[in-house]
Amino acid sequence: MITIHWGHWIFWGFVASVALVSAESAAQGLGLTRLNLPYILGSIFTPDRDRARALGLILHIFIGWGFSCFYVVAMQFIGGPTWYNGVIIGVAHAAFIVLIALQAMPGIHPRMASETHGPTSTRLLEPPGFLGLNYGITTPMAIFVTHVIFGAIIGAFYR
Amino acid sequence: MLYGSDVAPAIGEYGIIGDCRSAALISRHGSLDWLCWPWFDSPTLFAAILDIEKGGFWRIAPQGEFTCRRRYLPDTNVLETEFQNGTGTLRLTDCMPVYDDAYERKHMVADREVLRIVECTAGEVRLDAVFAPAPKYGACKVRWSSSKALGIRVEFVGAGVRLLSDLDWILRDRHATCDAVLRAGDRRYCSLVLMEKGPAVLSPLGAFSDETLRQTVSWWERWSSRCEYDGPHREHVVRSALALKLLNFTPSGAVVAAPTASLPERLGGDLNWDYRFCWLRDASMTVTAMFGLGYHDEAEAFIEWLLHSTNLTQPRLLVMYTLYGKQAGGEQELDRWSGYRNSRPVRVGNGARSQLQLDVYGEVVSAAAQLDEYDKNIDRSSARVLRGIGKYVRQHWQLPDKGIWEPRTPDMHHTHSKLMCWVAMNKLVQLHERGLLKKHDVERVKEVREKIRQQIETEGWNEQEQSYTAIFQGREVDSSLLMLAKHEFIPADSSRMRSTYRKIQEKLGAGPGLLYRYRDPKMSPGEGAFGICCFWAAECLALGAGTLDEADAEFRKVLAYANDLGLFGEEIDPATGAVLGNFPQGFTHVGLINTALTLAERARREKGQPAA
Repeated sequence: MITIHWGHWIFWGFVASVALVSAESAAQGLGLTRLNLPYILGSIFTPDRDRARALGLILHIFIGWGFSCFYVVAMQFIGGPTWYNGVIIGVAHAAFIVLIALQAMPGIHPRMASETHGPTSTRLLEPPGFLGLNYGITTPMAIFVTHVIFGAIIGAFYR
Repeated sequence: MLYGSDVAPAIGEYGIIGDCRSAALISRHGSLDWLCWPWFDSPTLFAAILDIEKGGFWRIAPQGEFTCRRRYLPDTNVLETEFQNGTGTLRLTDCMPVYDDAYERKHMVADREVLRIVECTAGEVRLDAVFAPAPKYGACKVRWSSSKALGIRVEFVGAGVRLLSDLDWILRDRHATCDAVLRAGDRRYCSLVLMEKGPAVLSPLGAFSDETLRQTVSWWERWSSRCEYDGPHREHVVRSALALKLLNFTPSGAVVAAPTASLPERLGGDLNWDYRFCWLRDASMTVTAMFGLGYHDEAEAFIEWLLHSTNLTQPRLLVMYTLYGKQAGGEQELDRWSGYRNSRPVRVGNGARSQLQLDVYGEVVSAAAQLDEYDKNIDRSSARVLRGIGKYVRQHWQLPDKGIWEPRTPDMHHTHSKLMCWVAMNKLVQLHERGLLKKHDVERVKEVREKIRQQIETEGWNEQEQSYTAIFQGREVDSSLLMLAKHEFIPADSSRMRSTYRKIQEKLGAGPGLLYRYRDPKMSPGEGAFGICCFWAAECLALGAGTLDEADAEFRKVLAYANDLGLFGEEIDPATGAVLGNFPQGFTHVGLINTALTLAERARREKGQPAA
């Protein structure tokens, strides 16, 4: 039987999502990665750089919030909410992003160039490439670290 | 030798392109030898001008011997170089794309890009192209990779660049080369984009690049068309305005003195400084030039920057600030670089940042006071800043300082510094009388103004020499004394100003139209004539020290020292007319614009027409 404490999830899911976005922003600021998920998400809807960043930021927080629900559910299958169970799911989530989601992105994103065909007049955004390495050699590490933080916050505080 | 020559070209053989955030120098030989990304004051990506082996460059030119001519596309900062050799003609078009806001909202555009379009217009030409970036002053590890679809990627700590091109580049050891043969009608594209804060926006070349070029040309044409100067020197004035606009850092409103570092004021010497900062000294004259030409947005943005980006140190003002109003970085010497034609050391950062230079206060107040002259508002916070500056000047004007020329010598009482303190007091009184500065102790300001005037007239005047002097109780003159008339301390046609002008010409004249800034047995040998001082002399004549014809003739003599693109550096070698110092120099172009405006005003006055 899966039970969700909605109040806890809403609060800690939101906190974890904001922490995730902040950690990603810090990773960019420190030059660890050029993966800018708010910009990538926002640019699905608008070519305007500033608007894309603002829109993407809101989207990213909401998506992260939604994902935290999966964390809450998944942790119940592996022994309940603890910080280390959160970390385990964070690692799994990051692995999915690095190995699958980033690779698939040029096929999904309407403004992202293809790794094989290059940019066209509508698809101009540099694709992430294998493991996201086009965005910097430490991109996979940044993805893992930020998602571990995300998972750890939910695991540690959700009850 | 990869660079293709033993030495970098003469400084005047460079042209500049830019996007109001950073700028690149490109030589007559098609070699991009200077670029700092993403901003003017960032570490270099290409800097062969300072070290042809380690600095990095990006050349696109024909193989073998060729002749070339170049120009800017009319009223733009898009550079076109045409090479001719025995087999054909090649046209290279260089720009850093700029777009208007509406276009950027509707289209995804690269954050930073250098676009180079090469076209064979006659016969056939084999290219001699080398792409050899050396990021971060050539001091960091670089990872190269290449893919057919996404071009060449050069990755380094914290950022990277990507070169997309429909030319076949071959990756070699820390550089790429291309020796393609282009035939008449062939048109090829190279787009270099920066990857820094997020995924890069790439350029798909072909028609897309042509549209980018069209947008850029159109942007510059529209900007140039706003120039209200319609006098006889319009071509030089518009080129100077375009050069000045390239140095205007749009995100903050700051104006950098020059886009380069360590180009020598004396060939083979050590007068090599980093000018990629915003000097407050340039403020009032730059604002005069911008307002005078009708570029009110740029002038207001610059004043806003002057008054508010400097608030971390107010009421004390530093000599220079970074693009965002921080204190300039400490001076470092890049020992591993040979310097421009062995002019060592190569310096980045600027040690003059901590000097006391009292003239900057007058410059800032004078710049802000022009808001009133053009019926713009001075808001309460700006008024508070001006009052604070006024108070600081009242308390400190009697101190010795380094003065306008920033020598690394002990502080002295410079007449020009006292003049600018007088200007600060004078402008504050004027603003108060116009009702724009309230809660202001105007009587004390007037009192200090009068004291400064008396001191300049007694201590700064040498009866025996019949001239104002560079330092109090001195004998020597310097060119900054020409500013006494410009700032209305004394009429240009007064006997004191006329005799000072004659003395300056006698002591500092360096040839037709040329003036040294000062003569110092230790500092001056080998140094060139100072660009803006040459224009000050012509302007002083136009203000009344001479006739209109004399002023115009003097002005034309100085204009003759521009390079083939109409650009000036900081100094001019009196022996050869060659450019010396950082290039192009905003201050010199400001001098050109202001002199042209003063000449036009004098001409209008003499014709009995109303002032512009």
